[in-house]
Amino acid sequence: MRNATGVPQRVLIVGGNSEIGASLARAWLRKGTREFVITERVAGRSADLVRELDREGAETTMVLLDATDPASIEPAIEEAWSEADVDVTVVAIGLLGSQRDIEAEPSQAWDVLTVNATASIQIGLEVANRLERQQHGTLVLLSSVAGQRGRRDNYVYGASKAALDTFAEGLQQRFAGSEIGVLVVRPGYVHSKMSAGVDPAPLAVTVEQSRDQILRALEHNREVVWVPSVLGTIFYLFKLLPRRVWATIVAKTR
Amino acid sequence: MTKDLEYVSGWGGNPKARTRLVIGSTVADLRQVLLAEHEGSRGVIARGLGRSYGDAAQRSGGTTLEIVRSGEPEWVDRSAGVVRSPAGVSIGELIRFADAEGFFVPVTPGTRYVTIGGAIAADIHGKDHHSVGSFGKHVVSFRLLMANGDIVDVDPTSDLELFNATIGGMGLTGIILDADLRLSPVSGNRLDVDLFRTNDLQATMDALTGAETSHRYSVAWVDMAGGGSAMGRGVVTNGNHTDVRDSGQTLREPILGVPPIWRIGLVNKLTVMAFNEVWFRKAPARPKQVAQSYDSFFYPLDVVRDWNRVYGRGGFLQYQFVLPFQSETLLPRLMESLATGPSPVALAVLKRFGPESDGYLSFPLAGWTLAADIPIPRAPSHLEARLRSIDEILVSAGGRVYLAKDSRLGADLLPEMYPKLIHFTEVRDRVDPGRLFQSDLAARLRL
Repeated sequence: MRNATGVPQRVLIVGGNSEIGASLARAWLRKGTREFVITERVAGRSADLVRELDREGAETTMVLLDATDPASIEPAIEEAWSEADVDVTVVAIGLLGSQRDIEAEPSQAWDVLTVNATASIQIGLEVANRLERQQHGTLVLLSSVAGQRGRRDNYVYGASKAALDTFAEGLQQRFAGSEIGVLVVRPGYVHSKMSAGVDPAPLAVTVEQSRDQILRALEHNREVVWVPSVLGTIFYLFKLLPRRVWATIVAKTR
Repeated sequence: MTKDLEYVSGWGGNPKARTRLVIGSTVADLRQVLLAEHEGSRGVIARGLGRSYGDAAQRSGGTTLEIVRSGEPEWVDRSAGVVRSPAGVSIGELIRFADAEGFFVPVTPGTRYVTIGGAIAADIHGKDHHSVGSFGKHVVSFRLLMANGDIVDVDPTSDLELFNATIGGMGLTGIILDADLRLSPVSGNRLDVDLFRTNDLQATMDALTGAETSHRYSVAWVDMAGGGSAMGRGVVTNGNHTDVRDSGQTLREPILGVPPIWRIGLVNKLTVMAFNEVWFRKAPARPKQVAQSYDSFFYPLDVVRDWNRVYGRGGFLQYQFVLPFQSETLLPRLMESLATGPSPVALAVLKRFGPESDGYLSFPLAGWTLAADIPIPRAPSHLEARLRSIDEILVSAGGRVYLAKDSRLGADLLPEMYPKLIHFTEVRDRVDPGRLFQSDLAARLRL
């Protein structure tokens, strides 16, 4: 149960390898959360994070979840709920992929779409059904500005995030007027392991900045948070642009 | 989405639960609700008048069973003052019933809008805790509707463990149907009250200590809004029953109400400072003896219906703790850290408790208790950090917070605050192994 001051009692991080996910877990630990469930694809990969949380007095459960194996998803989510209600779930699995490699080897598109869209949506639905049953709790989905408009440099990744983003919008309607929240996070460029090797875009942010904005958005029960927030205004305008104008901007900024 | 869900919250208005709200009165009603719960349900919790501040009487995604009184109180032994009261009867209704025969409830909280069932489940205390103990001390026996649908008579000889688990057990052992209570004989319906100001915390504490043997009732309102030496100054009220009888009504209905229009709330640093200053100034500087009615002595806030609405949409919480006497030197520090920060303590009450009772989850123990009303800000992380650090100090000092007021304590600190929790859990494993009785508070605290 989330308490009166908004501290989640039990948090599920899907994707223990995600830097934003880990950073959120540490922040909740400092706020008083004492139970964590963290999923990982390969056992032991998030051992450092687990040790860190447990050293500070938390009780952390590790669960195996492989986004490319649909049969691993339901049991993992069920296990997260086996002890108690989960108050906040962060779906932080993601695969950026290299656009050039994907074009050379189109089968790689399958991985990107599977992790970012198919598996994330399946996880989202498993979580949603449990939130509906318990009638409280929050689901955080990490989308991206890349899902807002197609871009030459990352249109496969963008397509996967567009799918997740559209899914989230419908899910928010499903839970309208209830105590259940769905937060869509739309970051621009975040300095992290995932983006290493990609040239930073303007308005790049750190993992910590992303974390703080997500926490603030949760505290205010927002449905969408742009990171940084000015991207909200910028993309509002970008989405109004005719395709040809948008294509020119993309070409000029490459 | 399920359509038949309603929003329910405690008196503090936060957190809210979406729950199936069922109103039940007769035993047959209540039993039917329990039997309708299927395997793997989210559970049921009984709710009385909803005056617990936090999430004790609500169940998100489950069933909240509002108990409406099924009958009138009746005498079991009029000369000894033993009455049998349905659980849904309020303290106020019981006072009216008892008054006609020269009795008064042994223990009353600061509102008469609590039910007898709730009073037992929270093992409530009043301004007379130092003289008579908590509510449970005056419970002779009760009937409990259990998870399996059976009704059992529970008293200390039939099942001491179940008795001690239910008194203060937050409704988690079953549904209390009715109870036999021992009332206090009184000859009048007025109180002799000594009323005076104290200029600092030490003076307030001394005054309360001094009243311990001379007065049945003793409590102090304390100022936690003014900083420096004003912190802890207060207005002490000590009272005793008298044989004066006022021919008018024993209790009056509320004369004012607060409309549900306050989004933002009227409670902020400025209004709190002003209110506390006025409250202090209007109290007599020198001890003054006054005769007071039950209403004005026990229930000053009941005059205003729905006064909790002044806190606005965000609601408020009441942080009530007890600090054992052997650690009383920590009290100024705890009060200081409660009062620091952006959300002000709007109203604070200090009192001395008598010895601990036997309820496994009963709150009172010999020490100082402080109850502080605090508005919940839009971004409550600072408030939570402040309260969490006080929780931790309390744990190390052998103190605890009151579950009937709580809406935020972390499950990790509960076993240390309530060392008899292990006995409580044993009883629950016996009478409700499937955990049919569940509240949001129980889920939050992993009870």
